[in-house]
Amino acid sequence: MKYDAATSAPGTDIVPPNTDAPSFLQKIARDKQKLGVCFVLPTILLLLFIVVFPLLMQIYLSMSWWGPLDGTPWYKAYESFNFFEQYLYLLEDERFWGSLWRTLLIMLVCVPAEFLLGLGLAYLFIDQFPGRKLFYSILLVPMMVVPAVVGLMFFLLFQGTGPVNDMFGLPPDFSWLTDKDRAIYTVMIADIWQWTPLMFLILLAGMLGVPRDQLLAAQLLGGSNFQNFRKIILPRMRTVMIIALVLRSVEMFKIFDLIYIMTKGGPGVQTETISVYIYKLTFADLEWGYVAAIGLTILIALSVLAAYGLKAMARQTEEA
Amino acid sequence: MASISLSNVRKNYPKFDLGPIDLEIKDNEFFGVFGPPSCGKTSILKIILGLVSPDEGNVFINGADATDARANERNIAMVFQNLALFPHMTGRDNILFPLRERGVPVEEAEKQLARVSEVLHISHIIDKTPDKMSGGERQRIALGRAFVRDPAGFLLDEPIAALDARLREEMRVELKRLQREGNHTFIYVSHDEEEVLGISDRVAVVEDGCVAQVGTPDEIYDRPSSIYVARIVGSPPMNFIEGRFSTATGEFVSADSHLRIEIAPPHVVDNPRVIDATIGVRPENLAVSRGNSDGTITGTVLSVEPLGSFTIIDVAAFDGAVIKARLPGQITFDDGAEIRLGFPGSAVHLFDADGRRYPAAPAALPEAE
Amino acid sequence: MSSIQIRNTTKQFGALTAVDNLNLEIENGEFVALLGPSGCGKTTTMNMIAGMEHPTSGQILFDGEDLSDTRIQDRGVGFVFQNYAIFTHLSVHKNLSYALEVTRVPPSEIETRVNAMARRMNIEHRLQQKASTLSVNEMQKLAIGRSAIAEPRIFLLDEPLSNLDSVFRAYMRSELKVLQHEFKQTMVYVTHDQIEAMSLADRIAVIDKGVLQQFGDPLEVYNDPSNVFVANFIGSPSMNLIEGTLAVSEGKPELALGPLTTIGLDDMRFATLVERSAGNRLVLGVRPEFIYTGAKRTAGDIALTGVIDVIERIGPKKIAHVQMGGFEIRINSDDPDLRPGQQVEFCLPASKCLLFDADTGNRIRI
Repeated sequence: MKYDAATSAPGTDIVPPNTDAPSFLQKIARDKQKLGVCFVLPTILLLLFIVVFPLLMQIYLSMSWWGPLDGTPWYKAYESFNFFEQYLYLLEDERFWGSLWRTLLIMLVCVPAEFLLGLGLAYLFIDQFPGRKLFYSILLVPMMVVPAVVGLMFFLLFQGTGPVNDMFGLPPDFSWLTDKDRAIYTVMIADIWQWTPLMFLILLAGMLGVPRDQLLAAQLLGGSNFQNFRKIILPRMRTVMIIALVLRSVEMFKIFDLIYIMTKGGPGVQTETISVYIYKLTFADLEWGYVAAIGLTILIALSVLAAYGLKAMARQTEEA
Repeated sequence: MASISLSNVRKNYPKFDLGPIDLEIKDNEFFGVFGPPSCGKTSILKIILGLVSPDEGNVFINGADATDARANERNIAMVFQNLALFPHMTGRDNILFPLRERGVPVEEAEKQLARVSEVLHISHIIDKTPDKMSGGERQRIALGRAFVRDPAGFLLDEPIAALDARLREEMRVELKRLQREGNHTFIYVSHDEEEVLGISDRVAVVEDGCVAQVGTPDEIYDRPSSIYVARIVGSPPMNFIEGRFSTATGEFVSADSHLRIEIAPPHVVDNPRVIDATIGVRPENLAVSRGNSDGTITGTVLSVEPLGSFTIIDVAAFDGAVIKARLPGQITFDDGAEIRLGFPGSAVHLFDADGRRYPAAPAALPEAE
Repeated sequence: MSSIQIRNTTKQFGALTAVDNLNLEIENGEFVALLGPSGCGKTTTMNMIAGMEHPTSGQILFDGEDLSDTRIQDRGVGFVFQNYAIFTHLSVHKNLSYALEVTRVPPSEIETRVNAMARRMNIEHRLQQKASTLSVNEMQKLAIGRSAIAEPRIFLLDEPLSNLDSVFRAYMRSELKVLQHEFKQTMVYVTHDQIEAMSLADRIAVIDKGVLQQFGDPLEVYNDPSNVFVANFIGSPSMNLIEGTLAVSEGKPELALGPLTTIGLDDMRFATLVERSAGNRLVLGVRPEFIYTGAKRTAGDIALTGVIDVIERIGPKKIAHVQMGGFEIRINSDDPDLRPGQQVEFCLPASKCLLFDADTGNRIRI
C-alpha cells in the first residue's frame, strides 16, 4: 500500500516507511529459490556442526597420544602431537587385525546365513495361509528384543549346565562360551537368531513388491515355482536385496552388546570384535587418541563398502 | 458467467511444446476440449486455471488480462477426474470447505449450501462420507464443492471418466442441464469423443499441443479440418483411401485405380492440376450398393459386429485395405461374402497431401450428410 | 482348444457370494464374453476358469475333464491381464519365449516361434528391447502374443482393451476377432463394455451380482432381454424403461405413471395384460431407435408428448432427451428440426415394446 501524505496527521513525528522500495526480505521473497535457501540454511548449518565437528575432533585426536589422564583438556592434544604415528602402530597391532578378522568372519557367516534364511521365510509368506499374521508376529519377536537381553538369553542357554547341553545330552564340562573354538560360533548363532527377522522383513517387503499379476502370469505361462522365483521374483527384488545386504554388513561392524554380555570378548581375545576391542581400549586402556585412529580407519573402510553397495544399486535402478 | 480467452499462448516443456494457442470461450458456453491422452489438454487447463504461467501470450478473463493473476484470484473452479474429495469429511463439510477457507460467515455458507444441494439434488447424501457414497453421488458432491463458490467459470477435467458406462451417459446429460440452467461457463476436458461432442456447444480439438480445429460438434464431425481430426472423431473411425484428385474435373481416382468418384462439381481454378489426395468416408455413409452410387467399393466381408441398432461390417477391399461400414438395423452376412458398398460423392471428405481439408475454405464443399 | 463346462459353481469370499450357482457351457472354439458391471463376479468366474481361484462348490471342466487338482501351470490357459503383467525387467524376446523356455522347448524352435509370433503381432522391431520401453499399445500386443505362443487350450482375456485410447481400441477390437479366427481358440473375454461384448463375442453371458442373467448371442440379448437388468445394460443409448401401475379401463389395459399421466396400451399385443390383477407394477421398455416423432404409423402405437430437454450428438446419431411427466424418454431421431425446449409428439411402436414385472424385474412375455 502506498503511503499517502494527506492521510498522515500534521504535527506527528512518525515518518511512515516508504513501502515502495522493497525491503531486503521482500527482495529475497521475490526470488522463490533464494527464499527457500534462507529457510533451510539454519538447519543445514546446525547439521553441519553436529556432523562435521565430531569428525574434525576425531581426526585431530587421532594424531596425538592424548588420553583423559593426561591432565590437559582435549583441545590441548597438540602437546602430544605425533601425526600418523598411531596409524603406523595400527598396521602392526595384531590385536586390531585379529579383531578385524573376527568381525569379518562373523559377517561372512552371519550375513549370508541371515539372508538365505530370511529369503526362504519370506517366500513362504507371499501367499496367504491360515495363521499367517500370527506366525509373522512371532517371527519378528527376536528383532524386538534388546540385544543385551538376547546376549543374556544365549549366555544362559549355553551354560555348561544350561538347557542346550541338557537337550543334546552333553556333559556340563562341554563348554560353549569358554571354549576357544566354539565361543565364536555360539555368538554367531545368537546373532543369526536375532537378525534373521530383519532380513525376512526387508526381503518380504521386496517380494510383495513384485506385482502379483506378473507372478500369476508366469504361472499361467507354465513356469514352475522355482523357475518363476529365479526368473521373475529374484531379478525384480535386486535393489531390496542389495539394501538388505549392505545394511546388515555395515551393522555387523557394530556388533557389541551380544558379545560383551556372552563372552566379554573371551576366552582371551577369541571373540573380540572391532567394537569390543575399541570398548576395551576406551575404558580399560584409556587410549583415546588411538581409539580415534581406529574409529577413522573403520569409518573409511565402511564408507567404501557402503559406496560400493549403493553404486551397484544405482546401476540396478538405471537398468530397471 | 465469464468469458475466457487465450491469445497466442505458448509454453515450452522439456519434452513437449504447447502452443501457440488462441481460444475464445464465450460467456455461458459449454466448451469442450478434446484430444487423445497427453496431447496437451491438461496443460491448457493449467494455464487457464493459473497453476502454470505461460512463457508467452496472455490469458483474459472477462476481457481483463489475467495472465499474472494467481490461481486463487481467478475465481475459476476445478473439478478433478479423481474428484479429490476429502475422505474424512462428510459431503456437507466437503462442500463447505472452500467457503470456510475464505472465512464466509456461517449463515451465508449455509444459504449457499442449501442452494447448491437443491440444484444438484444432494440433500439426502450430504451427511455421508465419500466412502459411503456411490460413484455418481461422489461426483455430485465434487460438483457441489465447485458450485458453492459461485465461480466465474468451471474447468472439468475428465470429471466422469471413473464412472461406469451407464452412469456416464446419465451424468453427462445432467452436467449439460446444470450448465444451461445456471448459465455457467463450462470448460470440459475429455479424451472421450462421445462425451465431449455429445454435449458441448463448441469443441476445440487438440493435436500435439496445438488447437487443430475449433467449432460446433456438427462442424467438427461433418467438416473436419484435417485427417487428424477426421480420424479421432467418430466411432468406428472414418475410412481413408489414398489417390489423386483432379481440381479441373473434381474426380478422385484411388491409388490402385479401382475407385473413381466425382466428388465436387468442377469448379474454376486458375491452374487446373492433379494433386495427391486422400479421401475419407464415414462408415455410416456407406450402404450396400445396388449399382447406382457415385462411388463403389467391392470386397469380402471380414467380420460382422451386430450392435443392435446398427451393424458394423469390416470389408477387405480391393487393395487389401479394411473398410468399415456402419449399416442401420440388424443385418447378417456370412464371413467371406462378396459385397458392394456405395457412397455418394457429397459424403466424401477430401484431404490434400499434407492431411488438410481441400479446398481449405469451409463452404467450398457441399455439407456432408 | 477345449470346451469349458461350468457346473453349479459358487464362490464365496467370507460372507460375500461373488458367484452364485453359475452354469455355463462354452463350446469348442467359441468366443464368449462375460459381461456385467464392476463387482458382478465376472472376473472371479474368469479366475476360477484359470485356476487362480477355487470354487467354493461346483465344478469347472475342460472337455469334460475335472481340473480341480491340476496346478495352474498345467491347465494350458492363456491369460491376458487387464494391465498386461508384462515382465518389464526382461526383453520383449524373453517375454515371448518365457512359456517355451520353462517347458524346455529346444532353443532353435523357440527362436522360430518367437520370431513368427513377433511378426504376427507386429513387434519384431522391438524384440531385443526391454519390455518396459514399449508403449501401452505394444504391451497389449506382447501380452496376447506371449500367451498365444504356448498354444493354450483356452484363452482368457480380462478387460484387455480398457487401457487403450479409442482409436487403437477400435483397431484392436477388429484385430482380436481376426486373431480368434486365426488361433481357432476358445476365448473367454471379460468386459463391462457392452459394445465390446456385442461386437466381439459369439455369445454373451450377462452377469449381475454373481448371478447369470442371460446367455445368448449378441442380437438375442439385445432384442429379447430376459429381464430389466439385461434390457438396461445392453444397448447405447440405453432402453427407455417406464415404470407404472397396471390399470384396466373400458376393457383395455393402461399403465398409470403418476396421478396425471396414463399410457393406454391399446394394441392387441397387450390384450392379455387384462388377465393380470390391476395394481401390478410393470415396466414398459422400448429402445430409443424405435421411437418416432410425428403421427402414429400404426393404430396400436402409443402416442405421447413431451418437452425436449437436451439434445446430444453421438457420432451420426442425435439423441433427444424428452421430459414427460417426470420421466425422461430418450429418442434417437434423425429429425434435424428438433430443438431443446421444444414440445414434441412422439410414438412408441407397440410391436417393439417389451414388458417387465417391476418387482422381480423378469420379462413378461406377451
